[in-house]
Formats: sequence, structure tokens, C-alpha cells
Amino acid sequence: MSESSWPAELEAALRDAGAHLRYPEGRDLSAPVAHRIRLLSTRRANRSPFRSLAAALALVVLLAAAVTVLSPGTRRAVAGWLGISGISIVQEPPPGRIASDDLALGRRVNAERARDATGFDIVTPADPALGSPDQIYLSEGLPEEVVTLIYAEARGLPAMGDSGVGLLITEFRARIDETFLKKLADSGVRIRPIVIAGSQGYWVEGRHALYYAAGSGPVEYRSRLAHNTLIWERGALSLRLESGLPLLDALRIARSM
Amino acid sequence: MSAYEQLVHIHQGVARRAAYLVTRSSADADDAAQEAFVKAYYALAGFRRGAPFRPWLLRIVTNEARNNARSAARREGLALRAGGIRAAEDIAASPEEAALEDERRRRVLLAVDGLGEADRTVVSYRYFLDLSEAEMAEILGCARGTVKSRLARALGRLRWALEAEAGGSVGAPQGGGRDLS
Repeated sequence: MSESSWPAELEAALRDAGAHLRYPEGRDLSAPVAHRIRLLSTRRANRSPFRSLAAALALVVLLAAAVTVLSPGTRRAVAGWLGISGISIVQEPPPGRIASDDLALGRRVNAERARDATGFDIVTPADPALGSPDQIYLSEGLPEEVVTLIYAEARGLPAMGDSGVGLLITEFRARIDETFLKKLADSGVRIRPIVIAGSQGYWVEGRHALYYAAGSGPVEYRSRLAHNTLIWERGALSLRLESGLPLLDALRIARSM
Repeated sequence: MSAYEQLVHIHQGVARRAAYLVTRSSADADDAAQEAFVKAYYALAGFRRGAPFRPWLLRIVTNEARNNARSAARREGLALRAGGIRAAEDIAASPEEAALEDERRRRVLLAVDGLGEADRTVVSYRYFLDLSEAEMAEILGCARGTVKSRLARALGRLRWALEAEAGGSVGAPQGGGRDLS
């Protein structure tokens, strides 16, 4: 190939080769895809009290761990992976005690209001020692609300720094994206799969963030409490339980939900 | 649902071909394409209306195919179609010329097969699937300039691989020194 014309000649040769390339005969995908979507949607509808969960509202919960992963570049990468443009940050609780009402978890509501607003049955631990949550927050500004339950440290739960929070439970109408979790685990993040009440769950160590695809685009949910967290699915919900408790105690609470 | 089935029907060809070019395994490609369509369905909420569907879909397909890539041992090499419709210029060629053309094509495919995954993806997407640089930028999640430079580097490596092959020359006789940049 001459020096000046080699790219054009190579491009022509590539296009020519490509035009004669053999692609294997494949099966028609529309039926298997439709079948799988119906299966996934039915499974959710049957377990969820919120029956009109249209596919357009379906959410995916992604998990990213370690502070270094929470860069704008990573957010773009996550958004890019799903083919969604734009990503915004959800409020994260500021450090310090949570007794004040101007927390960035959203607005404080009572249990009834939270149920009305989100349309899903909020699950709470059945542990008698825990009782009802001390505070419930509903996130603002999302089409799919996020509910946060706070149990104060005073209930005999180990402290999480000086936040005053003993147990933090977050509930999303979303499911967990396992492929992404596998990629993270492969990259050295400490994620341990665990079965919780028949569902696949994960025990994640250390600081992490969640990304989920809401109607308006992916959202990052970050907790500054940075303690070990259980994450699992329950019906149409993804649940997140963060505390200073060891795994077995956290599991006991999760399984009571 | 039937609207989405139509979308699948329209785009499954390119989705499967893209997945095949990444995985080089027919079974893996179909699995990746199928999984990508399911994921795309659930990600539709985030799809910007009016935007072209194909590159958005192919981004999900490409990621799915990369996740599914199996060991090299299970990969099929890129191969030529046997028979099939021949272009007018092919028909006009003598059997000897036709065989020579096929041999050249096989060498090109072999060289593409030998590229690393990133190079192979940009080359095959651009020249085998005829995707535009703008589409590829969206599929690969990078700037158009990056697509351009990746393509240029991949072509350089491809050229080097082809010339390194004994007696190999893809087109016109060689002239000048070898430029490896």
C-alpha cells in the first residue's frame, strides 16, 4: 500500500470483507424477549400490592462501593452503561446528629403519609426491641419516591459515628442489577452475596453509593454513615439496611421484615 | 408489549450482528442480544424521546456482549459467506480472480480477528456494521474525536498485522517506508 493512500485502501478492503462476512443464523428474539419481560413483570405484580407497575417505571438499583468510585466520571459511566443521559445527586444526610428536622433525606412524614405517597407497603422490622421507626423520611423530587426509616441509637443499637442513628433502612421501588454487582465484586469491592428470606441479597462493607434509574434519569443515593449494609429485594422493592451491627444481627432484623 | 416486540423485530438483526462481532460466538451473541433487549425495555424510562433508538440500544448490547465474552477457546473466527448473492463485479470476475478476492477478504478478517477487543470493536462496528462515528460515540460512550483516534490507531495496527504476514499486501503494491504510527 502506498503511504498516502493506505488508510483509504484499507477501509475499502475492510468494507468489502465486511460485506462478505458470514453472520450465524440466529433465532428470532422477539418472542423470547416478550416472554421474559412478561415473566418478570408478572412475578413483580404478583408479589407487589402496587399492581399497576408499568414497565416504563421499572427501576434498576446499581451499587457502587468505595469513595473513589463516586466520581463524576463514574456516574457518567454508570449512566452510559444504561444508555441514559444525565445523572443527578439525591440528597445525602449531612454528618452530625440526626435529631434536627432539616435533614437532607427529604421531608419528614408519618407512616400513613409515606404509604399514601409511594403506593407501596413500607416494610418494617418486626423486632419488638426496635419498635416503630423514630423518623420516616420521604425523598423529594423523584417520580419514584424513596422512603427512609431511622431508628435512633438510643434503642440500644451501636452508634454509627456521632450521627445519632442506630439503624437506617431505605426502601426503593426498584430491583437490584446483579450484573453490575458482579463487575464490582470482580474489581475488588467487598460484596458478599447472602440469601435473605428467599431473595438474593448482598452484604456490603464500607462506604458505598447506590445508583438507580428513575423516570427522570439515573440518581445517585449516597450515605455518609458509611457502615456495613445489607441490600436485598423484597417483591418489587429493594431494601437497604445500614447499621453498626454485625452481619448476623443485621440479618435477623432483615429477616423479620 | 407488541410495540416493543416490533422494535425487537426491527433491530434484532443489527443487535445480533454487533453482539457476534464482540463475542464471536453465535450462542453468546444471541444470549447477549436477548438480555440486552430485556434490559433496554426496563431502561426505556430513561430513553430520551426523539433520540435515535439504535445507538442507545447498541450501547446496551455492546456492554452485555462484553460481559458475556467467554474464553478464547470457544470463539469462532470471522468467516466468509459461502455462495450467496455476488455483486456484479464478482460475477464478472473469472474463477481465479474470485478466489483471489476471497483470499484477500479472508486475510483481512483474520487480521481483524487478531486485534484486541477494543480495536476489533471499533473497526468492525465502523466498517462491518457501517455505523457512523456519531453513533459509535454514543455506543461507546466517548467523544467523536476519541472514536476517530481509536479508529486511526486500530487501522494502523491492522495495517501492520497485514503487512507482517508473509507475502501479504491488501491492495496496491507497497511503496515507501512502513509507517507504524
